[in-house]
Amino acid sequence: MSLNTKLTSGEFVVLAEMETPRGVDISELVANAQRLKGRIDAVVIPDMDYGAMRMSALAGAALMQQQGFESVMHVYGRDRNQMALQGDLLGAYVLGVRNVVVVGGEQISQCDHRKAKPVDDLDELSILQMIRGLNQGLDLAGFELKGSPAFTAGCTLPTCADENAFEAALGQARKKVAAGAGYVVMAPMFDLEQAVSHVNRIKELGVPVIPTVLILKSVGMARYIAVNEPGAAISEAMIARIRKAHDREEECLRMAAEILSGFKGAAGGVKLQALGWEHRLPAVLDAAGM
Amino acid sequence: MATEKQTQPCSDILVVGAGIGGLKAAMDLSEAGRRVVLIDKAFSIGGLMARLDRTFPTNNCDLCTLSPQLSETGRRHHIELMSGTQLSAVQGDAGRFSVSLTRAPRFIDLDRCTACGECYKHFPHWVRFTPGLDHRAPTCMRYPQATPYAFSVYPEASVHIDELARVCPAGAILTEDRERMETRMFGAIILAAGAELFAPTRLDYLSRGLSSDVLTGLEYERILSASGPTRGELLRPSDGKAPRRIAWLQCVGSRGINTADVSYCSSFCCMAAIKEAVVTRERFGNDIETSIFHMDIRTGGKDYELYYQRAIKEYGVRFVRCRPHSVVRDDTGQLRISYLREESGRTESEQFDMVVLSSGFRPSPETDALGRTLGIELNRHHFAATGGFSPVSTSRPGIYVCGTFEGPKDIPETIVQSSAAACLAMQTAERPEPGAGPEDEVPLERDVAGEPPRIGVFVCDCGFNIGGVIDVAAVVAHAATLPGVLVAEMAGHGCSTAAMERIESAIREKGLNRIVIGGCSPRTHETLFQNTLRKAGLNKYLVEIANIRDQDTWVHANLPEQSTQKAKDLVRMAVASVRFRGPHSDLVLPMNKSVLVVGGGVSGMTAALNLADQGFKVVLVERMRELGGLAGQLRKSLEGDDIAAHVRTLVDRTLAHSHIEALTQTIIVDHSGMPGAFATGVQAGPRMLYRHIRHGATILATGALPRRPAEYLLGEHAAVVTQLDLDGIIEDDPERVARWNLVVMIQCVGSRTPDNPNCSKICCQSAVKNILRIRRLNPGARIFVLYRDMRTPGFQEDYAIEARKLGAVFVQYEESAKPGVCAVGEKLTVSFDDRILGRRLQVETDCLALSTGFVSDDEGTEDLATIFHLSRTADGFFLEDHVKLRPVELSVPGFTVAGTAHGPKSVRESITQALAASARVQALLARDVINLGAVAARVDRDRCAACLLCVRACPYHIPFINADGVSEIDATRCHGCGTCAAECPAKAIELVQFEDAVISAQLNGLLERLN
Repeated sequence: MSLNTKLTSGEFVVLAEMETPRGVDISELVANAQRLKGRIDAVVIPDMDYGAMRMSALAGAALMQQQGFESVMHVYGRDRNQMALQGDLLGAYVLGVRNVVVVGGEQISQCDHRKAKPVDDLDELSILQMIRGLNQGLDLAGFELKGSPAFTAGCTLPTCADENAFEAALGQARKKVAAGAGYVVMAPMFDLEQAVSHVNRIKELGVPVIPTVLILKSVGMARYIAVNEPGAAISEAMIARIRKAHDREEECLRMAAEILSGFKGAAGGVKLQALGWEHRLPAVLDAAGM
Repeated sequence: MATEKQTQPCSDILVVGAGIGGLKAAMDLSEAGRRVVLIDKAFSIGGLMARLDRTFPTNNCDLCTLSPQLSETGRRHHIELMSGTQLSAVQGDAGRFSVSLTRAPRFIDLDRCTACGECYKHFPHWVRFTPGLDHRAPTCMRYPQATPYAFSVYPEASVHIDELARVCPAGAILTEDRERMETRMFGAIILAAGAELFAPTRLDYLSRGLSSDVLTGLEYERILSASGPTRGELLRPSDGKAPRRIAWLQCVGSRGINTADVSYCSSFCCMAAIKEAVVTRERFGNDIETSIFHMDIRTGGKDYELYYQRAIKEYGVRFVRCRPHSVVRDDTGQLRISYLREESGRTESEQFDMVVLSSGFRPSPETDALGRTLGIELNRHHFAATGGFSPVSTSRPGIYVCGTFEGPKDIPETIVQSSAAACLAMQTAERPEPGAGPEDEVPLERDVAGEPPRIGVFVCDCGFNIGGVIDVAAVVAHAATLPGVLVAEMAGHGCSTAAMERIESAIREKGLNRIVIGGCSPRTHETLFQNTLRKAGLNKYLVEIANIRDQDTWVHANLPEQSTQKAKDLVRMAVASVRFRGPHSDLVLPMNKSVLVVGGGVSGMTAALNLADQGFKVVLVERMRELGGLAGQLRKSLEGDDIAAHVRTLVDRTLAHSHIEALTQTIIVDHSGMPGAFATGVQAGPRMLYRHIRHGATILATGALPRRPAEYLLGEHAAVVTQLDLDGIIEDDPERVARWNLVVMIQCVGSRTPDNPNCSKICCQSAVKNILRIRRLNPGARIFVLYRDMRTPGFQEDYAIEARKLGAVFVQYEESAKPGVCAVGEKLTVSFDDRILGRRLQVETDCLALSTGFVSDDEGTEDLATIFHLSRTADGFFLEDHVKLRPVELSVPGFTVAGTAHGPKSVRESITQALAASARVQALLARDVINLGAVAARVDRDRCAACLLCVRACPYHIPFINADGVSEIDATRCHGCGTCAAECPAKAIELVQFEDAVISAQLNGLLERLN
């Protein structure tokens, strides 16, 4: 059953995010994915996330397809103009990629190639509209395609520091859904109750909601997020829980598993984000009994 | 006078003075692959520390801590030791100094003298084995492990040189010796010439010189020392009786205004006196009364305050806050101290059996001349002058300084400065040609395979440690009868340079192929003996140590006969098993030469820049958005240096340096590997990008937090600030300061309290600094300082004196009677007890400055300690590997610490420690490969049944079942714990160096007697 079918049928999906390497050694990526075979529904391949130059998401997503996974490819407009975006999407489809998420790209000033020039030809909304056009057999210039793709496109909803920000983000998401987004990926939140209430409000847009489960790794990381991302809702109690744990890393994995389990029945699925600890995702699934 | 001219490459570094400071600098340099010439005017090295008894705060034996370093120094090829040598002229500039060295005649050939003592037996007044160090006799041994291990002849005795030559069995007497001068080239010079302890022969008002029971601190240390005149018995000099009441008088000759006094504080004497009192009660009984008369107790070092508290609470040492005006010897020979009891204001008088004068450091008489010869500036106290941000640099570029030559200080501070000086000297001197390292000079290993065992047994007496309990000769005689033993000898101090050389030559001459040492712990000494084997052309794993000290004579000291029997058993076990010891080769990995620096404050940036300037690649990780750390908030130091400007320069240089990658907003999340090959996972901000940093060494410079306790209305009343706030107010709002009529400062706020028992060290100097600045802006302001002990050690005392002169009023308070603060609207009143007036005073103040000090970043250091497996102190600072001798290294190899992450300290001290950390890292990364030793589990493929027991048992997850279906253990990752070898039911796994055959043989050796 394809990811699209699962999403539309209301089945709970588990996505795992995996970065491509900065280089051509794909062994770690493949090994990390293979450890999750049969336990996840798709691999999400970011495109130079956080402004770090890496192997393209297109190649990564195609590689995952070859490895027998369904892949979800990130798309954004910073590095490609509308022609390159469309060309790559068509190429990806031919290589087996069926799912994309339209995301916001990191500011070029925050990227590790300071001299790179941004394109920013299309924003997220325009890209979603463009994808819908491609699905309908027309490119952005209005030319007919020879064979049209059938992408399932999703959009994202960022961390929101307060209610106002959430309202604004919800408004954006509404437009994106109207432009063709078939699901919403929500940024990580650690307070389950608050997260579920956000999920429920996003659900009103009429599409499945996929919250992100970010794996914490240490007290320092938890403290950093607590200070810098108030919208992620990390409480003092959570930090204290990691501090008190006999094995802090295990405790962090357990906490991720608890949040993952908590979303069952409440959300359309989850996206697991390990940020470098992809090799520990099986342990999270073990702890969640999945 | 003979002159030898030699052309030397300018990569050599000269270290002047071979006390603990010079030794440490020399060893750091040699570890980092630099060639060192170490000179000392004395004929044997060790300096002052070799004369002490025990070290605070651990109460370890000084000699036990120092002597392995002495012997190590003697053994290092990189270090050329020139005893009896002084520096007589210096020409040239940094990087190319031409130095004239003058060597006094010793009349003894170091290569031949065995220190047998024949010359001394015949002519005790003509020769010395490092005399003049205790008051018993000029010929007394300084310590049994003297390096070089040889006598010297008094110059005045040289007329009798032929008679001496006749009695010397070794032919070591040089009848024609004379003063020699040579000129050599050095890239840099480190001065570690030390200082002297004030030792007045006569001080009438203290009965010094009138009663032999009035001793200096150092003389008292000699009495406590096992190698001292009373062999460690506490007996008073006048009548040889055990004293019951002992008094210590602090600040004798220091912090005074008499002609013989100096104004500065000697820093170490408070701790030394407390230690002497504690050791006295610990070793000689709690019924000995120990009283310390003092002005302030200055226990500002790391955890020293805890030691002070233990002295009071656990050891019952009495502290009397008073500087007694006299010690009078009465008719009965008793010593009477009259003093003013502060609490009552009455004069009291007490009798004591012994009085110890805590006398401090004085520059040695040669200092001025040495300063002139070198062309360096001295400060007004005749110590080497240094700068606020250049703590080990003299006024002449390329000449560095460490230890008490720079100012009064204790051992850990000296060690840190020594490493820092070594670091800068390395930077100045040319890098030596690669491959010229003398390590390559070890001979090829002899192949001993197939040879029958030819065993040499060497049994140490370790002074009284072993020889005082068992009959070493009987053990040796027993060993000689064992099969395969060719040589059995007594080795004296086996770890001494001479004994090592004896073992080496025995191996060569007798063709020995296995060595047994009956001695102390392999944990501390195995490497030493292994190196000796290696130098003699044997594989270093062909030695076995029978630990007859720790496991025998120390634990059964009262059972000499049984102990001797046990020593025989232990030696027999070693002889039985050593034949099964095989040659092993060490596992090696390439060394990663980049460095991870955690923390971007002054310490982190100083270390990073220093390493980067020397070509190391550095990744600097800082969790905040900006570099600068806590010092970024400071403006001025006590000495008036502009800290803010210095921090800005450091930040700019760090960000611009091509060898430094500075990651801000970055958190460390995981860690693995070993020294030389670490991998640390970080989440780099702002978006938490995960990265692996590969590095060979790590410097932790994560700093501390300024404390802001909710006391004395801090945060509630606008007039209440911390000294840190005040530092900024004085710079930014001088008009406000000019309006103040009265300022009150309260010391020890949130420090030296039950919930934070340690001293924050910097708050007294911050208070003095701010007093001086306030008075400059507002000469009419009245300033009260409410303090518990004013702690302005060293030359900081001069500033405290100035503050007093300017009219600041210092009022002492006890923790039990804290000042009170009361706010009425805008107004603020402070009340406190004035003990001299005997009543409570109340003043209205415009500014209440709280000296709040540091607190560790408990959550941060705990997080890192967990990830890196490091130890912390109870108050959350990183715990160094050894408080005294390794104050920069952490307990995990490859980790060093710098700055306030280690404990409260000033910017200047942080810079010193950062440079020291850099030196230690350079030493660690000097080699191109990592030696992993030979201990690793080895799988016999044919026996392995792939039962998975080892896979499950290994605590480090190393074994796995490979493609061939058998267990495979990566030897480079194996920790050598042996768990798998013990678990394996098929006996397919063996731990190299702990093979079954070796252990069985040991047991057979033990049980043979029973058969």
